[in-house]
Amino acid sequence: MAKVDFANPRMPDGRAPTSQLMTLNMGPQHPSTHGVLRLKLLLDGEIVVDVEPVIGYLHRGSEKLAENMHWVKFIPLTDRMDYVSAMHNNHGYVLAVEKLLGGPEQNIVSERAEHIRVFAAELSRLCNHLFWMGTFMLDLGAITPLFYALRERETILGFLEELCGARLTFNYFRFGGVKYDLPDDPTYLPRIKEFLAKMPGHIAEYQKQLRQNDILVARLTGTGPLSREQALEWGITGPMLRATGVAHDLRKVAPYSVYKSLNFEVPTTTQSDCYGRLHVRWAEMVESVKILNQVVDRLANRNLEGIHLNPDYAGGKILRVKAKGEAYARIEHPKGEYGCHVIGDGKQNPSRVHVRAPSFANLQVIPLMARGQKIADLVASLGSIDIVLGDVDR
Amino acid sequence: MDPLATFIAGLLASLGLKVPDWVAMGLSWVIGSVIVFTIVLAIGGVFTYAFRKIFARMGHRPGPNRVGPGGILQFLADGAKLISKEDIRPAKADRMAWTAAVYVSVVFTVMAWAPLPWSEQAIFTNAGAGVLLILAMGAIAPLAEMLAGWGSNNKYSLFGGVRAAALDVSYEIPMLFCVASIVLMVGSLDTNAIVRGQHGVWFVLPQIIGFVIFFITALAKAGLAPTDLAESESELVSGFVTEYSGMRFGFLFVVLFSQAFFIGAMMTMLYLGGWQAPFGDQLPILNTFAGPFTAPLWFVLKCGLLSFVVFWVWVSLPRVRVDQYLATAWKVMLPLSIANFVLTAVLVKTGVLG
Repeated sequence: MAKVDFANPRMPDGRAPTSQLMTLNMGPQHPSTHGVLRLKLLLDGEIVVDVEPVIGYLHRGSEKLAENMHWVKFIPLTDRMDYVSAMHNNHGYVLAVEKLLGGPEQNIVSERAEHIRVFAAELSRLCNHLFWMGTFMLDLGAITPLFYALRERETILGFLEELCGARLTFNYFRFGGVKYDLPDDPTYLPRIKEFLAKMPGHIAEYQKQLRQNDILVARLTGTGPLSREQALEWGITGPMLRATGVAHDLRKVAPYSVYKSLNFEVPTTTQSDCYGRLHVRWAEMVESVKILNQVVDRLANRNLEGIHLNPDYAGGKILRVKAKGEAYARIEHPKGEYGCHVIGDGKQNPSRVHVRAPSFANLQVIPLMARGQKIADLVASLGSIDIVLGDVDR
Repeated sequence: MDPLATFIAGLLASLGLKVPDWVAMGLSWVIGSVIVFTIVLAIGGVFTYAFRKIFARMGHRPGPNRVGPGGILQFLADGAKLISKEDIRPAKADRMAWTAAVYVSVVFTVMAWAPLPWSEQAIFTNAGAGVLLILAMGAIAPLAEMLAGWGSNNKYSLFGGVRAAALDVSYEIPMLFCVASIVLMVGSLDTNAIVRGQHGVWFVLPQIIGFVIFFITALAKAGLAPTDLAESESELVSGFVTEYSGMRFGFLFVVLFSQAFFIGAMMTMLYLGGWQAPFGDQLPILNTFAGPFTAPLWFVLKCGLLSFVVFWVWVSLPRVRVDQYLATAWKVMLPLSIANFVLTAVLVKTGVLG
């Protein structure tokens, strides 16, 4: 995170300031920093001259804690990193450990379990984008869209609760599969199909109400610009990158799980401002519904082979023998690229776990996006990144 | 003597007390002030409940429903909570400005209500220049925001205060031109005369441009979303209100909500025929049903409807950016309101209107 010289401030174009600048601490307790983020602002009136993000207020040392617990016991802790889309955190960590244990060629995970994983992950992606949309609108001062978003999110959380018993921190993925099979309830998948049939209509409803809103368009167009070059330079991933026109989605470019066999698009836009990011995420929600439809059809119609959890790996004994060496796995998290690097030395604890958190990497560009714009634009830019402080600080 | 003073003198006379006129007048001022103050605070309080209920219904939620039937007593519970809270004063606040802000805000907001005509008789200050009085009192209210912004010794509050000042100069002028057009048509600053002038055709038809501009500027004046820039909680925490707690905050809050009704009242008076029934004379059915309360009932109904629209806008729209609002005010609303004023003047002079 770039330091700002508050003693000898410079304007964005390098000149010395002509008027006295104001230093303002935004956060760590502030309504729109999405948690305990602190932004040190240098202001010229309403105009943001420079920003310095200060992080670490939610640092819990999760990665270090992993070194003192059993491999399996770290899964619930990954839930608590990005608590808005916990399924994906599970997925990244579990994939990395499975790679350590022999990789996909070993057929550790049955086809059925892979489909359930994708099913859970895509539902979680929908949750993440819905919640993001609601809180982003809240940043802009529109208070009602959040409740529209939560209406659908509640339904999805209900489905996930039936699946794994939890609504926020799921702790669902296991090495070799998932903790529970689909619920026995024969109406479960039909109910999900029913919901999925309605979901595009809901997304169209949000678009109808927000796309035609003149104030919203004026607030978002040109706000928080980030060029393609800047995005690539700073390692930006996820919807932020796709809003600059780069069709980079790990589900396509480095497919994991069963994404290769699924039919979906990678939505992009070249309108690399807050408005573009809103559009990309809307389009991604539509694609998620598409994926979910295919997965649910397969789970319902085709008798997928295998069981939900490979018993050889469920116990964890095998980890002590085989978890040696290093592995890195990456997945397309709703917020960007989520990477997990694990090192094992044959003990029952990992000797090192590192997470490449999308929120952390994406947060770096906030000074680039906010310089020269208004305070209100800074809030919008920050909202458009989609950060969760649990994920930034870990 | 105004009707209230006459009523009080009559009441005392029936008790066998013969008082001179000035005593009756003085009593009517005291009693009238208490009544106005109570009405403003009661409406402000009930509107906090109404807003939460409307907001909730528009967001698929039930809203407050625990205290009293349908949650109607929620605002009393909130008031009790706010009164019992600690009154925290920031250590390095400018005590004078910080304290004065609440009083300035409450006093001048309430005073602006005095010339409102609830009916032909039910008017607390039947001043000849009633509209001017309302506008003058309303123009002092932003001073409270600036005082609070400066006195709180908080940068967020300061931002709120400066924004309030910037906004004030930009909405006040178009608003005055809108009101001036109406005054031209009526030829009087008397609030009752303006209402009577709308017998037959309400001013919303000839003054449709003024109606729209007045609504937008009134939202900014009251500090309600989407133009609540002096408060804007997502940017400035709470703007000029940040450092107030307990009942000081409560008063600012109630004043804010009473403003929602006041916008409706102003627009009803200026554009929607005030206390008059929609079709010329009072509807006979309502007349027999409500008796002497027919006119105030119409007034309150219209105000309520407009307040609902204010809340509707509040929960629907995102907040505009401060420079966007200023640009709209100076570059669009001001020329339009002046054009509307000139057009009205020409039409009045040629005898088409008024």
